[in-house]
Amino acid sequence: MKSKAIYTVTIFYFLTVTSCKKFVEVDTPQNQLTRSTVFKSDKTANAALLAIYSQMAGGGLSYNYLSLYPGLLADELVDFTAQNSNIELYTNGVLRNNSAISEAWQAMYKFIYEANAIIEGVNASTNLSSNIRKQIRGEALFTRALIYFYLINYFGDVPFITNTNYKENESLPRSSNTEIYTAIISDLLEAKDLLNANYTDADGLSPITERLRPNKSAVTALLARIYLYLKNYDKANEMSTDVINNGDYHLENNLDAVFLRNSQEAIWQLSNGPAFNTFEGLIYVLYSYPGYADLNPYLVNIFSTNDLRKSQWIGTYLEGTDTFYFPNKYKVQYSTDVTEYVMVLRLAEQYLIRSEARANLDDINGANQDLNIIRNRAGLPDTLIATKNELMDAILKERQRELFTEWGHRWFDLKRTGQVDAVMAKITPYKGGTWQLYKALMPVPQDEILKNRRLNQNSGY
Amino acid sequence: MTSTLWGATCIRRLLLTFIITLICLYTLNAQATHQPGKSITLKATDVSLYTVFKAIRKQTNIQVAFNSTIIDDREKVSVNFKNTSVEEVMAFLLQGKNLNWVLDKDRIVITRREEATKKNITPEKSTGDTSLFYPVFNGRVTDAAGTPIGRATVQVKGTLQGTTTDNEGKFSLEDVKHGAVLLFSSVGYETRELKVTGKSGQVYLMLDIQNLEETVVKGYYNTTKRENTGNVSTVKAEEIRKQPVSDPLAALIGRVPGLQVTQLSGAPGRAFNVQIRGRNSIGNGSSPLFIVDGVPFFNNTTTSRSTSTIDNSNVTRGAGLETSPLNSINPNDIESIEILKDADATAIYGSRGANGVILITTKKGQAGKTKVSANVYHGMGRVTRKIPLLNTQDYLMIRREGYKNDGVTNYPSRAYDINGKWDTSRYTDWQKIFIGGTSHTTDAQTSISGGTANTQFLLGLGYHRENTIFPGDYSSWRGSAHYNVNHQSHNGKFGLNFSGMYSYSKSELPLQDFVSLIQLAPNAPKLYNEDGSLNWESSTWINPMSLTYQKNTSKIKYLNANLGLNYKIVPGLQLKATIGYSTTNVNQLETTASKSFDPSMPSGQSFSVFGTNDISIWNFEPQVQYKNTWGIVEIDWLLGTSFMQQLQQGKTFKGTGYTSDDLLNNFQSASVISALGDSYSKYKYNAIFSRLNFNIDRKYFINLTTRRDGSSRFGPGRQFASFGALGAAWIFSDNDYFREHFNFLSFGKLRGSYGITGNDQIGDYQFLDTYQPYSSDFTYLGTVGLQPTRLLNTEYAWEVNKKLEGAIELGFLRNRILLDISYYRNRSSNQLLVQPLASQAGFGAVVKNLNAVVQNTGWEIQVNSTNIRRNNFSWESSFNVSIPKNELIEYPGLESSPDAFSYVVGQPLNIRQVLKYTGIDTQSGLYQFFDQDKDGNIAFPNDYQTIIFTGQQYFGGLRNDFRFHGFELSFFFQFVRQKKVPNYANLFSRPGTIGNKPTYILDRWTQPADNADVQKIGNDFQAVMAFSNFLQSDGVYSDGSLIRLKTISCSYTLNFKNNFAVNSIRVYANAQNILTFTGYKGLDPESKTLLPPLRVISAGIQVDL
Repeated sequence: MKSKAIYTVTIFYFLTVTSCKKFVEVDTPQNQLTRSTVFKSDKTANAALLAIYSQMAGGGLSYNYLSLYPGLLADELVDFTAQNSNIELYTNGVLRNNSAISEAWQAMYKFIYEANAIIEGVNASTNLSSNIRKQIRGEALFTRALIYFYLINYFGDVPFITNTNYKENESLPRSSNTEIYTAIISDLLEAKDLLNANYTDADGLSPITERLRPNKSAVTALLARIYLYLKNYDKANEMSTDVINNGDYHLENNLDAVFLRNSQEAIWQLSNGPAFNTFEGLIYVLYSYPGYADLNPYLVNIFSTNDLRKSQWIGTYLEGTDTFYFPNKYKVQYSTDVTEYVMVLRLAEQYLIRSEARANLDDINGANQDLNIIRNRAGLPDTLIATKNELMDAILKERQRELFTEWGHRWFDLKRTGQVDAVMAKITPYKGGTWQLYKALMPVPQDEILKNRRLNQNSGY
Repeated sequence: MTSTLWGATCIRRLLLTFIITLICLYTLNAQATHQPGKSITLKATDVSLYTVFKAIRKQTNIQVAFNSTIIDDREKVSVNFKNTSVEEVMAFLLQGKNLNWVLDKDRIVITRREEATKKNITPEKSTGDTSLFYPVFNGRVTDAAGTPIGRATVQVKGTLQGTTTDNEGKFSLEDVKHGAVLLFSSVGYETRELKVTGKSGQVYLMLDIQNLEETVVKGYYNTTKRENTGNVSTVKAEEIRKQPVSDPLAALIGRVPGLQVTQLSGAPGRAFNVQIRGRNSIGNGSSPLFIVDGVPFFNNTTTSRSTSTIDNSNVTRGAGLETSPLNSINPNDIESIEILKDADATAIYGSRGANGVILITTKKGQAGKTKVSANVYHGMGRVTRKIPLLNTQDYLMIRREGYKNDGVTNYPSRAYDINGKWDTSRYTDWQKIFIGGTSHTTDAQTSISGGTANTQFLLGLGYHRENTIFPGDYSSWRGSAHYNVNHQSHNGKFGLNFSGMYSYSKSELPLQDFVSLIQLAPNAPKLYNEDGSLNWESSTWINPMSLTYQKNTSKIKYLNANLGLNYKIVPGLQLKATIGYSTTNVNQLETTASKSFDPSMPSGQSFSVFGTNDISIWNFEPQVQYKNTWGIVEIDWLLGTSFMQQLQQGKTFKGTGYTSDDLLNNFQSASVISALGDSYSKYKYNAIFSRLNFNIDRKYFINLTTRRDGSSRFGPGRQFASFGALGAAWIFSDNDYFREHFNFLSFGKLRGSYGITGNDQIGDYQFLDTYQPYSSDFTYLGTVGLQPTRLLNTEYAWEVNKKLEGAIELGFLRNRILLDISYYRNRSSNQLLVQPLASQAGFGAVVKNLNAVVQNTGWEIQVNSTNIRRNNFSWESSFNVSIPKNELIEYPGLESSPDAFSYVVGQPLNIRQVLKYTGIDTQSGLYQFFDQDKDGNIAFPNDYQTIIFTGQQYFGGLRNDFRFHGFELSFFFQFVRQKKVPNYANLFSRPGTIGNKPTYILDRWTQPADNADVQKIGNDFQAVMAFSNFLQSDGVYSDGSLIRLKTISCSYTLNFKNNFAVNSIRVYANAQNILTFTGYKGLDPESKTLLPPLRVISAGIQVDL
């Protein structure tokens, strides 16, 4: 009896209390992958990159941070959300804790993280094919450069993050604009070498007509813009000419076709998938009282009556005696039949870049020529502007009319051309605020400064 | 630490365990022959009877019980016993007194000798012939006062033979063997045993109310209230059944000291907020561990900083609309709910015990006659409070005044209510429409139970249906089954208990709480056109009844099965194992019909969302228990391991492009189907635990619990941690000194505990750098993107909670009054926080252990009192109050974290930092605030310096139960003191905007020097800013203290004579939330802007066969 009891207890213990550690280890969840697994196959590595584009189109970057917000800050849009954060943007009275600006910061650094993770993942992986390696690295470098371009134009100096080690990165201070621009150019030049001339499909290899993944021309187009911002007119001229002469890109004669998914003018577009058009269309196109914004009368009024862009790119909605004007570049508010993609880079901008570069290189004729290509397409007659200064004004106006509510062009143009003070001093009071020059830069979000004491605030805030 | 080292530790521990087991087995064998004798040796002169009784207790383990009105134990005697039998000792002591005594197992009960019982008073002497059979054994069962107990169950232990007593308490059994043991039981009384030593006998059953010997369940082991070293509160079935509620949590409100249960919404099946002894964690879960019949209940632990709403079964719902998972459990199946609070009680749950443990034990069958019981009730519920709102005339006046103040003469096109679009003479009481309805509840229960002494069973079936007070066809119902089989082998060595419950609930509830709709303009259009279609009034409004075309159907299946096995190897040594499994399957369908959209809007498209969520949990817990006694020392040792796995899998799909609203339930008719979500998580848990209980003379108790836990929620090398607690108690009333000097004190115990528990409520896989699909709706080039969801972070580990408790438990007037006072101090450190991370690192937060310390201290007082106990009348009261205090003791780096504006060191966690409202500027007519930094601007964060404590200062309840013959009346008051609760200002938009307002806004500023409560009506920038600041100020908090007459229950029970088919009939009426006394500005301080708890009045009947 005794021994029987002892045996029972013994066996019982050996059976039950054997595995302590093994038991509490869990496998990676079925519905998720760890980073190292993602970069083990071409397919998943591509998917990590494509998620970035999905987020750019659907996650607020294209329509909020780079259309609605800069439109409110500048002279393009009037706020109808009545949310404090948007009212602050609209009245140029952004506070340090503005939630919209804080979200923009967070979202853009998330893109930086994702691009860095891809660059690191591709570097560390031994399983990817060399073509894929080149393609993915090239696109990730391009993406990182694009986001840094917007970050510095929004905030001035920003922390420059190039890896995913959060312990190192969480306390980095801001780097200078110059330093970041240098890195952007070097990234883009490398990307330009890495990427192909054709557009590729989801696999990163097969050529495809949809212009949804950045190719060599997209990189060149962005380089043209960046050289323009840096006033390197030679290079800007060279890069934009490169794109214009490429032969794959043509201005759409019909303005209504510019933002369609098969636009010949597109250098890079983003897609929201097979059942959704664009968030730009969703928030801007009005069938009822505006919920987000309508166009600022200042903008509506700069179009001459025979400017086709006024009739084709500006919509009207009537309610009682009130007329609301809205950006109508994208026509579809909501439909599961996809006809429109989000335009990021298009040929018209390249003409305007070259025009400005030529003007600055004192090629007045060439500048007029490029400008007139854009004017003609909008149904406007040729002009011949004689002086460089007048030309610069005309080009800026043309950019305002051509590129309104697209990717922050107007706001960033005002700042880079030094006109922001003059223009906003007039506009801001009309919007119910007061203008001061420091407001050209957004404040570094208060939260971020609290989390990283080495960040300093832009002066004025 | 490396894995090999862990392995080594693990094996070392096992070896040690094994060796200890062996040693114990040897000790056991050495001690097994020791049996306390049943004879007494005592020589003493002029000692009190008490001293003699104590000697009997010491030497024979027989306790002498009596009512002090019939015998004075201070009476002095002189004795000289030498190996004298107990019977002789008792005969000697009671000689010449008009008293009876009976010996039953280990207790002698002394009672007054009564006329009726004179015949068979003392057990007849044993003839010594054990093969003797008594052809007829006659007996009688009474209570201690001699009142006969009818319908008591009498059973010969170990056989199927049994009977019940008649109305005079008499019974007779045939062919009873000499030495057989009879078992006596009756509802409301303790079960007793009597050894047959003659042809007749009498048994006294003691009422089991206020009984210190009542079993207290502590999870892996049981104890008694008298001997408990920890803090455990129990709510019994009796108290639950008096409340017409469908969720067991609702039945706990206000009844347990230290337990805060808040009803978030009055709609059926909605979630509750449950917290035991305050919030321990800044960032993570504060919800207790729920265990149903030994199986952990799935308790969603998210990383959100929200309160501890136990929310798991919902698929897509938002705040305040979560389904309460415990709603799957039929309250009628519950035997008791135990709330474990201090370290002594919770440390055996190790890492999961930090926030307390709630044990739910279901009903079990009882031996005896097969009982059938059926119970049905119907209830009706209504909202009790409404907010006084403006009528159309006043409303329009305010609206027009706003525009006038702004200098606007042409009303804007959107101002439909006053610009002529809407009829200005209409008036609708929207409160009446949206929350003025009556809900109906129907509940039916039936059960059958019975069995023999060896095998008992219970089978219960329940049905509960409830609809809402909202307009529209909404309802929720649950069908449930519960069973329990209990078996003990003939030799008593092997035991088995198999229990389970299954429930199916289906609820069709609105997707939105209708309370928010009461702010519609009072002249808003009519809801329906003549033809019954929705009236969209030329697209000037969103017709609220469009909500009724959005259906949300959720079906929840819940199964819980539990098998317990035990085997007694040798006396004192027992092997036990429990195997449990539970599964919850949620199936949800939300349909939005095209009818719910304004037909003139292009974006209105019908769609349906289909979601499933399956959670299954299994656990296996083998244990060894060893008990032994050496003289006055007793030990009880338990050693066990626990293996648990929890798997959760959920999927959500959306279907669009339906051709007809009638096809919304059919996924095949959707032209586009997309996946909205796919969740998966596995949680594994392993522990070894031990409890060593040790007592000396049943006066000094020491209880040591330890546990080593491993959880898969932590990264490699950080999975394991040790927890433990030491509890001690001293029953000082069992002491001569106290006996003599404090004889009003019938019971006195001091107890205390200290220990460490942990918290792993952080969600699974937080340590992996995972990628997740972006969205199947928004594919890119036909591919679903993969995006990173987390940083690589393997460094965080357990949150540690140190609990200290001291308590005194006193019984007065022979335990008619029991008073428990406890003080606790819990300190939670190594706080697992989703710590903000500069977003430049890629993510805005990362899980980290931070040396922040949260302290909860508090006092809990519980008084139970039997005010009157007569044969036909009794009055009992129970009162409890908890005074909790929460404090953030330390938070290194708080100033530099965004938590800087949420928490303040030295303050509770439940605070808000807000503006200080200073009144209305008599000149501008606008709300004014204290400008802390004197910069002329009211801005965040410098001016947000006023700290508001939104928690509860104290809370508790008062219960009174009366019984008069068959009548029972019980009422229960709940009270809460909380001075600052967000009031109805948050429910209504800015004065001057479209939408109705409470009547208080009539007291608004109209001209300079006005002394008003509400600012100038207007929409200019200044007014808008002032109002938005007002919502961020202390001006929108009201006193949310309340006294609620929570429950009234009355019933009448009619008992029938023997042999009638029906045993008893009970008719009853219960009411919940009858009266609420509160100065709160709004509907209810508990539910705030959601549907308040309803006043439910129900009536029912219960028939027992």
